[in-house]
Amino acid sequence: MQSGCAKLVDPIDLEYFLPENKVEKKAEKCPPDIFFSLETNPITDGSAYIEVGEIKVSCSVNGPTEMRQDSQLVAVLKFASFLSWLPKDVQASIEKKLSRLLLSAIEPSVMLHQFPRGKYEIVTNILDIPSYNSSGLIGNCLAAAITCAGLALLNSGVQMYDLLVGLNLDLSALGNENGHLCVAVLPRLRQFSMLYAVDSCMPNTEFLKDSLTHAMDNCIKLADVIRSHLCGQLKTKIK
Amino acid sequence: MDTVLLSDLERFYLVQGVEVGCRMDGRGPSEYRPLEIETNILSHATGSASIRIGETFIVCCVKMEVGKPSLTNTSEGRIEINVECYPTATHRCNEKAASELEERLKTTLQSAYQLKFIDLSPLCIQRGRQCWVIYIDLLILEGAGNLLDASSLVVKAALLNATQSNSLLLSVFQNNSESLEAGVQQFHGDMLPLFITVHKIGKAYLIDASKEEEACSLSRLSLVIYPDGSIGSLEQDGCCSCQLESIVEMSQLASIVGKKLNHALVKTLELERQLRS
Repeated sequence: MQSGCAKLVDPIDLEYFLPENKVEKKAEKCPPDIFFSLETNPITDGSAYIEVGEIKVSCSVNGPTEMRQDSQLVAVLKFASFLSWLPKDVQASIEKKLSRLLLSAIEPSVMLHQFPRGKYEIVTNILDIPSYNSSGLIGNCLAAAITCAGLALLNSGVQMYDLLVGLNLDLSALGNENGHLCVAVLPRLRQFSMLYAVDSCMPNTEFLKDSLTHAMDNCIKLADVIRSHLCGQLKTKIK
Repeated sequence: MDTVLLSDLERFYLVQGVEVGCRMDGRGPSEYRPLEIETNILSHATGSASIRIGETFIVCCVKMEVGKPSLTNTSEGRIEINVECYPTATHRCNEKAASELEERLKTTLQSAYQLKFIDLSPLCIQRGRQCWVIYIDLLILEGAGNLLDASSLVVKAALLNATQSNSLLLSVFQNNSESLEAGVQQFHGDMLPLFITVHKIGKAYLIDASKEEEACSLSRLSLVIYPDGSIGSLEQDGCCSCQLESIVEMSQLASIVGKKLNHALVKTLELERQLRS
């Protein structure tokens, strides 16, 4: 016999508390505000730290060391362990993909023939990401990592064709409904070393051409800012 | 990347031939190798297909099961893509190269199937509790270059084969014109992604590169071409960088070939269905 059992008139399902996937639309500045410093890790051959908006990236370069079985360039991109924004297996899969894209962005900018049988290791750590969730977050992290890796390679003294600059272009500024295009650019040579677009849909080839032209112009501005600050730091160090 | 070993003379011969406009097997720059697609090859699957492009051989199987939705999209179904590669399909014939290839194909195809054109909300049974899960399993039996294009083609053929027998999938992958607004362009047909990879070898651009041509490739642009000619996901990588004009020419070539291939695939599957009935 059950007594004193009060039943709920209208039971609430537990799924009521599951949050909807809210995507905030925040205006992104293009080219973004950056802060960078070199030689943040003195025990490595080259290191750099960069802040692009709210994304913080640190990168270390070791080399040239003698290579045994792997290739001349080894690029690793990792999110810090205290960033728990995704499940572990999804994060590991994204890290592998971004590491491969980072390697393909770095490879055209380095003079590989100058160190035969030598190996450079580039380790990139994403230290902080914005708290809001946006569809272009992975592209933003990749672009910041590419710029940071370019600065770290510059600091390590490896011979490069050009300074490597990464940019995640918001395609809604060009009239498209939504989407991002992540580019890695050698600005003085006017060449693209990596392209990556996953959440965009461009109507035709002309739109792609306009997007790439816009991305190249913004990367040239960003590279000019970086180069002028590097020259300023060099002059300050000489005095 | 998993590439074959070529001597310098072989490489020179291949690059010079490609720049003149003649490939080693006599194809033009925008021609595919002989392409065979067969559907309904597995009886226990919702949809299945196999493809041969030259010597590349890939089998795809689509199954639908009831499962739990993901925590981020509680009112939608899921698409899970799994790639299995035989070690003998790679050049080095070991497990490490096969797992690298599996991971790369899996992430590329999975990201192409997460666009807004594929509306997964009809697959929801109860919000937060139950939904349909579409499992797409790829089995790479022989690899002779151009695995990404062949994989996306066989996935599309298997999904189109699954829509013939399953009316629930028909509402997911076939866009109906009644449900769209008047201002939006009318789509009559599917909007499933199809990858086209263009390789830059010397000063020429190639479609459907074989293994030897992939070894000589400087840069590679993979685009998703939809049947109406629009460009979806794109990825450019390789050991060399590209000018803007090169990328525009590569994307134009991919767009032309992609529209033809989309049309040819739908036509072929329609003919196969008529012959079977």
